Amino acid sequence: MRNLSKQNLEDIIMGCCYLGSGGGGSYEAGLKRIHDDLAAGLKFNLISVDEMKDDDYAATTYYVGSTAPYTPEQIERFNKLPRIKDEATAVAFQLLQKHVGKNFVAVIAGEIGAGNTPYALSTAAHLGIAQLDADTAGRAVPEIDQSTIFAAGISLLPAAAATLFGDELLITKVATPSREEEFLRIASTISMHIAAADSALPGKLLKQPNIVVQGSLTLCEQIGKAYRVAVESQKDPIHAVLDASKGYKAFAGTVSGHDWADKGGYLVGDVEISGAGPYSGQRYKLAFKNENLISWRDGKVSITSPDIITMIDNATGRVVLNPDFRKGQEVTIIGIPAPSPWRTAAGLRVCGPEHFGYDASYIPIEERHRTGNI
Amino acid sequence: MRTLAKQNLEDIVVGCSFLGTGGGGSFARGMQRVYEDLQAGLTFKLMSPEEMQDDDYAAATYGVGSTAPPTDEEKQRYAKLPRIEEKSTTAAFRLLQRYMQKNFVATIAGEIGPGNTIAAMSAAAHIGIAQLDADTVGRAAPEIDQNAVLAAGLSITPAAGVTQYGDEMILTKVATTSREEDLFRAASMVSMGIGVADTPLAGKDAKRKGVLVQGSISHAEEVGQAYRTAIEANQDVIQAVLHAGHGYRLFEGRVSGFQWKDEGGYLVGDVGISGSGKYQGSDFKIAYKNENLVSWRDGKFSVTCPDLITMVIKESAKAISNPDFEKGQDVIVIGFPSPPNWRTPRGIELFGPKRFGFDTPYIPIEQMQWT
Repeated sequence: MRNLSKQNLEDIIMGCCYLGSGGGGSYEAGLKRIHDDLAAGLKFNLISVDEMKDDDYAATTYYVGSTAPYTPEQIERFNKLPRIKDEATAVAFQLLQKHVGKNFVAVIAGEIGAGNTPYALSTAAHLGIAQLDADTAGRAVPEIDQSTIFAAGISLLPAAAATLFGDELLITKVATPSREEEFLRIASTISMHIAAADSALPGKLLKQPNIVVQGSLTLCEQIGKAYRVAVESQKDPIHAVLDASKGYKAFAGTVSGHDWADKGGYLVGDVEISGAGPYSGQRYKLAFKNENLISWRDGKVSITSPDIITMIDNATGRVVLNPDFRKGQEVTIIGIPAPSPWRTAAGLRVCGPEHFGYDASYIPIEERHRTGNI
Repeated sequence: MRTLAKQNLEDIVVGCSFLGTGGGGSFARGMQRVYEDLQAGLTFKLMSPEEMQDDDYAAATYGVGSTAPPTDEEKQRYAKLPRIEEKSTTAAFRLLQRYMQKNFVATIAGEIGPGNTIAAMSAAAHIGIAQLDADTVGRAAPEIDQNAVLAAGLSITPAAGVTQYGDEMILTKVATTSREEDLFRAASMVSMGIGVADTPLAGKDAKRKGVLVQGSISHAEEVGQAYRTAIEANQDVIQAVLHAGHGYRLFEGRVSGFQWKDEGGYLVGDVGISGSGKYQGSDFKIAYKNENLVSWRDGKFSVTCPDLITMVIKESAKAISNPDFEKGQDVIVIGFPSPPNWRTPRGIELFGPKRFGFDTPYIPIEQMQWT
């Protein structure tokens, strides 16, 4: 168990940007949340999976939001309802704990993202328990299906949910796994947001390989620190980040065009880059559904999910989250190897390029690099 | 514990039609359900709260429907899902039982109405347990808040919901009572309906005065029986019903006009009656929200909720469901005292005329001056 300082936390959030693959929530919101919690005197502790006892439990907690706008009648109804004082994710987590009846020692992050990982950290701090140094994606992912626990064939249930008004419910069984998300999403439409907690698992199971992505918060911290130290010592931050993340530089150039739309609550689109320097004369394209999923160089596949594709602003060395790019911006594209759970057959089924509808098969980025095909 | 014969059940449905105050579900559907279930070999049992052990439990169970019809895309998705073999209400009742780990011996009816009371009894027959001789209203009522258990300060949660596909959920807490309905209705929208079991009540609470409306199913049976025997004996049917239900004759005349509309899923309207016979020259009006709520004689408030107001066809002495009246129809208006549960300050707050926007105090029907 390690207590995280303000600097450790800021490094983690910065590192999350690089592993967010263009998504994972707002960096500013994540940073603000942690600063608010620190100002309120909350403590952040990180424990590794190996520190858990076999019969200790950890679980994930997250918000499900509705993207549909509310009618004035709905808003009026919401305004008449009471509001809880606690963080709804903390209420959901406690309900799950009570229902399962085990000793819950940590929160598992649902993904690595600059906005979303701090939510998990914050919930843990509010609950007065530790954050597990692990998550269920090792990067940011668009759909609830992209959970390494789910890919390992383990049920996420029981799930607990809490609204901002004080409603609390348990989902104890579903006809098919996607029904959980369906219920949470429909409940969120009459509740503004709904907080959920699920994937309650014992230490014994979490310690097995490919159930969760182990050490992912520490990796974020290392990447964030590498960035910070490089900037402080006036070195190349992109090079430092690639070093810390074992990543590869894929392309550099100028944003020449982009196209995106809100499709069923997802940000779906693509962005094009004209090559510069050694890439002069080449064209690169990224496609995203919230997160970057695939890229092409001159029409040929360059990198695909589950490997991580991240755009960096050359001037600052900072990550460009979707859709914050702008025409004329000078950027570098990097690729980072996906964590091992996604590289299994079951992992690729829910996180490979085919799952997202692309006619491409997954070739690990290391392999693409070795054969000069990034 | 008593096993109900076909005739007992028919009497209950008829009695419920008089106590349903113009609502409470369809009479025809209630009767049909009785015949279907008996045909299928199911047994209907009635037990009084007194027969429960203190730590036995009873709960209400009912279906919540989706109001929006499914799209083609939804139909396709639902068609791929597995189906459970038992009814979703039965599954919900069993889930609540499993979650609470108590011995559940009976179902509680959500109200007294010709369609809805039988739906509860049918659920009990499907589960294979008894129907409690009690309900949470003692008449039919429009809103979820008109629940005597809530008025007594007890909770309707935990509540269990199960879909026909086998999804299971438990509401452990609600911000307000209506949130239960909101949340289950939301779940029903992605499931084409959901079976619910709620208001788990221990025997010791079920027996307590002022929690449930006790003996309400037997009471409906007595009213229905009085109706039947009066017809068989060629006696005054309405007089027999009033006698059995301790009711009053309020007015007699001809339907002169009415209006109604669908307001947020409720049938809201009023009906006017021109007096005849000894009421010649007078007029009467009834306003309803699903159920009849308040009445006026010559522009002055007459009987109001929570007391019961029922319109009866003069010729057949059958109770009229809203909005099945016709202009020119000869009708008799009768009233019954509400169960004592509603005659408390909290009861009046939840079920008095002011609750529905009518600016008049509640005066018990027995204290009204009849002219």
